[in-house]
Amino acid sequence: MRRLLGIGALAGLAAGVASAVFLATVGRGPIADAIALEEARAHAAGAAHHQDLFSRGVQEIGGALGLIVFGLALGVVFAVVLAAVGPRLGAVTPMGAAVRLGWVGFATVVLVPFLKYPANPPAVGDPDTVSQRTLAYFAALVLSILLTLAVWRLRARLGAGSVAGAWATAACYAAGLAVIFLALPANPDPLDAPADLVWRFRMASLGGLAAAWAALALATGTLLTRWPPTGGAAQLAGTAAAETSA
Amino acid sequence: METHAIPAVAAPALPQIRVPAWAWMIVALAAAASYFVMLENGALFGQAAHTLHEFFHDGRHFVGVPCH
Repeated sequence: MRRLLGIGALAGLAAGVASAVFLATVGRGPIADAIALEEARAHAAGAAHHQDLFSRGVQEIGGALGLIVFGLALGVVFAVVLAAVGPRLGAVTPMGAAVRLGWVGFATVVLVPFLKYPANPPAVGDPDTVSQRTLAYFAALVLSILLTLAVWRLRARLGAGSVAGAWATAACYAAGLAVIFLALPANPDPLDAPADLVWRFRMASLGGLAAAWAALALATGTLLTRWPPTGGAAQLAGTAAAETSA
Repeated sequence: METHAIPAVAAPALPQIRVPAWAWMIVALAAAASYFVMLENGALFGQAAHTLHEFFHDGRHFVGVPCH
């Protein structure tokens, strides 16, 4: 188990670095443009230049550091969840299991919350609604995880290989998504930045997260294959490999 | 229409890797750490959180969590 956590931390580090690199290259431009817009607006409104707590340079370093810390935490969670559900993922190799869980995790934790509350660049966002928006985002995240768990259970009950079961599972997931999207409130803030800028930022954000999850899944799979934790990496995959190594 | 029985692939009954309680504790810790880095907007911790928030500002926006 300890080795598994080490693997998770290492893979998480890789994920954090991947997204930090993405931020420094693709994400930097839209963020700089958004901040310039923000400042031009404040200036036009006649507001005194407000003193920032940190300079832009420090914020860029802090941003990268935040992504790495976040990646580390994510990697540990990913490894433990993989240990818990691995044998039921139906993959033949540890890499297969890690990649499958990576897809499920990306869809559940990133894509669904993103579709309901897409990322916004610095110029967008009313400070007065931030608590409300945080709560709504958190609710979307938790509901998405719960939905995936529920649908996962349903799939197991209906039989993973059955045709009717696959349709029923997909239908239930779609219905659950519809409920989440309709039940949660819309983002209360006006989208008052140029759409072009907003979408450049959103695509960069989504790309960074995709890079992080890809790095996470691939690194976890690679490390598990190279250094199987006690109990055998084959157990994580669950099928044929387990028989040969047993 | 004929119905075909799909041959069942016998998946060997596998002992799961037991995830001990302390590992789940670490998961909870990791989740809490992500909360502070990404979601804490002063909802629980006010000013101290604000400093963290500004420091991690770019990363937060990039991950897509709500920001001021």
